[in-house]
Amino acid sequence: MTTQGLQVNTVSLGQGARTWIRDDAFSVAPGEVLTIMGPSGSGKSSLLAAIAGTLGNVSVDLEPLTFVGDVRLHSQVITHLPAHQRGIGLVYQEALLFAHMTVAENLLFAVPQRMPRVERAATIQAALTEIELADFGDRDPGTLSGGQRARVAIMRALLAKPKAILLDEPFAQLDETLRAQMRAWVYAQVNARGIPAVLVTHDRRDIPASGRVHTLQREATHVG
Amino acid sequence: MRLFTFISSRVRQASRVLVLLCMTPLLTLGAAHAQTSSPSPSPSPSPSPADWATVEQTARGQTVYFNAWAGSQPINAYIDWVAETVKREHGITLQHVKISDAADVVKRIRTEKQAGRGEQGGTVDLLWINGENFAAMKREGLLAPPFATALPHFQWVDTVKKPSTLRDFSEPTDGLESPWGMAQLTFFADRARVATPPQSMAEWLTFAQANPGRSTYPRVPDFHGTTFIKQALIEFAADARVLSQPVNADTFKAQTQALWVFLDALHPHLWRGGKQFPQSAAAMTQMVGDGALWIGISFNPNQAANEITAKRLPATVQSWQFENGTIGNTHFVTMPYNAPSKAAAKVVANFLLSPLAQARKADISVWGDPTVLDVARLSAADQARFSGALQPGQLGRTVPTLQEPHASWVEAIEAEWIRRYGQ
Amino acid sequence: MLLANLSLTARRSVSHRLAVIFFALIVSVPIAWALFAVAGQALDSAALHALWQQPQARSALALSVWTALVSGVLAWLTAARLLAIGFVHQTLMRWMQHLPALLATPHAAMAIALVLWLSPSGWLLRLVSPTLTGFQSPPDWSTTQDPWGLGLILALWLKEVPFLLWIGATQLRRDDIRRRWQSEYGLAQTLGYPPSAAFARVVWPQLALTLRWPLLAVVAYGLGVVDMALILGPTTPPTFAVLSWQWLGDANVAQQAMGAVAAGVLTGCVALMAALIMYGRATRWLLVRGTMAVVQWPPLTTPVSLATSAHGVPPRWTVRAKRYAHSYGLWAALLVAYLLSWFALAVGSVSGLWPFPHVWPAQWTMGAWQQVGRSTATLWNTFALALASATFCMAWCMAWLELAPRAWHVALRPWLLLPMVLPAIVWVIGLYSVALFVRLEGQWLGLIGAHAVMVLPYVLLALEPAYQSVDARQGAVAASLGRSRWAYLFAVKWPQLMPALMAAWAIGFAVSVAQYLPTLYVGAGRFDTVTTEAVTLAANGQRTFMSAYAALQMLLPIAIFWLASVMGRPRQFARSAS
Repeated sequence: MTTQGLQVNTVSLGQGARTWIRDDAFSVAPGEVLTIMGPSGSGKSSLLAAIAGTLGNVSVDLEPLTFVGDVRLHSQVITHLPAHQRGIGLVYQEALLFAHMTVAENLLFAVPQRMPRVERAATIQAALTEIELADFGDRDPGTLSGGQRARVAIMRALLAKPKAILLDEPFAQLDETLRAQMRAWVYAQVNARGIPAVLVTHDRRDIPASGRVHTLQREATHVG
Repeated sequence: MRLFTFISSRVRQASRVLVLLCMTPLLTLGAAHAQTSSPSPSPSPSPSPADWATVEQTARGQTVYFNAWAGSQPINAYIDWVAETVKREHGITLQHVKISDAADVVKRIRTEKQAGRGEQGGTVDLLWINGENFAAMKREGLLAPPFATALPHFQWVDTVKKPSTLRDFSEPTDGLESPWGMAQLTFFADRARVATPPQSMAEWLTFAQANPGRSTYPRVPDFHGTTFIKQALIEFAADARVLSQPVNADTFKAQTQALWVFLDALHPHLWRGGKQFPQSAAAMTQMVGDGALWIGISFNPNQAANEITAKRLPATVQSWQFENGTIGNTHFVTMPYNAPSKAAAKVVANFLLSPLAQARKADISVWGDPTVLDVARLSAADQARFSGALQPGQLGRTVPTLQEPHASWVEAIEAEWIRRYGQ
Repeated sequence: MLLANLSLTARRSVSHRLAVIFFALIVSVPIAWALFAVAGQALDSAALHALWQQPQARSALALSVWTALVSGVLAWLTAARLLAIGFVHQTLMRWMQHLPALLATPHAAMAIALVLWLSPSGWLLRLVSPTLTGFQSPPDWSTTQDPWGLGLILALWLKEVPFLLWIGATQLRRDDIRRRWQSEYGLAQTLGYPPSAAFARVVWPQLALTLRWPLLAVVAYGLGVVDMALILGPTTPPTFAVLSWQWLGDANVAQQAMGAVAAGVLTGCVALMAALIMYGRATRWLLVRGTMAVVQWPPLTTPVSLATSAHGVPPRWTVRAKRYAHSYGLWAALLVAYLLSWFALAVGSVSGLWPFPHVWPAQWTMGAWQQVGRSTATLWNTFALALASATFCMAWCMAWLELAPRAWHVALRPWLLLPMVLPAIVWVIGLYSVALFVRLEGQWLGLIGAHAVMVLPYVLLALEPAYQSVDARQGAVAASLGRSRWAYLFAVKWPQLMPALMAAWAIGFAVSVAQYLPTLYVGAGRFDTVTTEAVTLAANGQRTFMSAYAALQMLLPIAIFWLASVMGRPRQFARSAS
């Protein structure tokens, strides 16, 4: 039982009267990418929301989600913390870049406030260069292609120096070659930074080599 | 420690919201406070009427909220002049509260009384009023104790030849209201179109038959319309003296019979065949200016002259009243029971009765409202204020003033008119 | 351990819940209290009996219902057609730029302008007399203040179409719905439906359902309008709202009681309309299916096809003209109607003597504008009052939409929209009683409160669609990046919503400027605003003053709308090289 990394213990996760997950537990080591798979509607995205603490951020038409259980990060219980204090990054299928900010400003939004201003500009430029969008700083995010947006979104999440990262089908909108490139790059980043990562996907090819898979079923689960 | 940071962060967040919410109203509140002056309550109880000097002393520095009908620019300008003068000479701040209907104010005062507002807790100091509104206030005890006869300038009021200064729609004023000006039913028309103006209701019928669709009167219960009907009532009633007594079913039927016969004959020749009536006499004045109507109605004998000066009627318009007399009455100012600045209100009412103010009011170029004073009894200097050359459109000669019927007749007539013609 | 196992939502925060309750109370308490105060006066059985006996009451009520319903139906059909045109031709965004000017025109101003054009001594007849008609004096025709209320219906129709159109366009702009409806519309066309039919069958049924609250507001306004009915409506009998207002203003207590009961009857009518429109199956069918024919005919062609024909040869100019007329004629007609009205007001405000057949006034006078120039205190009052109430309402709406859980919002929403729906006269009685009780009558704070209550529904209606269309996951992303909720609101959400926020604020401002009865009653007559002056002067029927003050009533909101559009302009990104 490792004390580093991410441990999630779900007693129940549901919305309104429905319960999707009951009595489920898994842990992720630093630098590891755990893939969660399960049938559609089995609550995978909701589980990620519970881990990130963003349960309240649902569309107004839906009822709020309820999560009973606990989440530990590096053996610290973070279940009671609000989302912005957990330090857990979240990447969605859609890039969700803020439309009223330039690409550089989107990245700037993620950089920790403590960093001095000069250093912040340099960090952003370095980040843009790393994702091969060095001249795109002043662009309107709406003018970027799908792949470019996905790169910016993931880099934005990484710039916040998260202690763990959750990926909700991040490559679903990309074509095959781009997908392979992005996969490799993201897993390399996770490994290099030594943070635990949870990946939700439908596509078996997204599972990293020798990566663990955690399958969710309607009721009890087991780690495979 | 964690609890403390938790609470302090919440408090900080909440205070930010509160600051945002409160800032703007407070800013405007502060700015507005500089603009409007709040009423200063009278520091001492109402002084005895005999000691006028004490009244004037108490009045200095007080604010009077004068609720007066504001539908006419000359009247508003005159009240502005009054405000300047009382400020200069008595140190009183007069605020003209512009209203479109005195009944609104009566209702407000009534609601204040029901809400238990005390003697100093009202929002109205002086109110321009007459007729039904006065009768209602008197009946319900909404007025301050009698004050009018104790005003120094009241001695100049012509209570003999102008009995309506003491009886308002046949209701005794009892000193509860102070007379301000005279009103008499007057007609005006363009000389070019109306060569021989009708001199009685019977002649009006002839005129209407000759010129269909060119005359009308405002819809009852507008007070001009009601007065037109009352004038016809007085002319056609079997015995006019009965009209000054309260009405009952028998007298009503007997006296109004001829009136309805007359109206039934008249209406088909009126504007829009008597099916629709204009909202007010002012709307009619506009129509006379445009040429849609040929005869207009007013209570101010100098209205036409005013309109000519204001370039709303052509210079060929003339005013006249029926040769046997038209209904006339007086309009007054009064104090509600809960006026905060009673001393200052009395000083203002007294000023309104002064020869200076009355002469300026009667001046055609200012307002043209006839005076309530007996000009013959004034000093020579004051009499000189009242003389002036005849202006275009001004009334040439005066006719007898017919007494208003008792106020109870008004309700009965209005109800019957609405039943017959109002739907 | 126990703490860690607690359900997350229950712990969201006590302070959050307290905040929600606080915001709910500061608005719902005055509303409920006002209604309670009115209910006491309106349920007077003796007065109700007296009302029933009144001979003119029944015909007045029928007249009110007739004018409100007909104008509501006409406005609905016109707005539906305009929305169809705007959607198919993608001109809605362009129209939205002009709509604020139309919305800012006060109702009374429109009524005055119509009188200037349509009355027997109005411009239309002046233009054709005496050459075509041979009239030397205005004819005795019932063109305004006619017994059927047609003039009133026309004025209401002209005023309500921009409102419905604007709400519809706002709905169509919502990010979340827009893409879905666009794809559904495209899909329908691939299934063989021409553009207007595709809109009518696919988009319109969904859009129409969201427009029911505004329609109710339109019909309710028509039922309760007083100032327009005074200027344009029949007088014998007048509409029921005018009757109620006249009785309430009478010195006689019995008449006042009848007036209060009449206001209650009007409220009952509105409640009936509400039940029919919001819940009635038959009316829902009528509103959607019944209007489909109008929405899709004459058929609309997409912009590309306007200038082409089947064989690739440009069609004859008559065919092109017909297509353009079908597509743009209605909007052009609406704009022209408003332009003519403003022009009439401008001329009317400086007109002196203007005898009949003359097309232009015989004498000109600046007296009215000089008077306007003298009333700076009035202008300042109007401006400060509108600013305070609009800002308060906007702040409240932002806080409420941000904090309130959906169940609370759904429950409270009908209450919040009530001031828009019930006749103004009902509110005035109620708010005045409340103000008396808390001793705020005749005070700035009481007046701002009264205006805030009346303005709130409009601001809420204006802000809600945009606010709720923001992708909720954006908040999740910002939190996952370590930024607090406040940082997200100030840096991301509110800047993105700036156009909607500014528009809602401007609308609140315009609504406050147009308030008459609340200022008069709750202000205890102490405060003059532009509107109270306008109505007082309009009661005198003087064309110059009426027009000048109507123009002034319009200029203030237009200035604010312009300011709001400037402040709410979306960000211009720098042009890039690549």
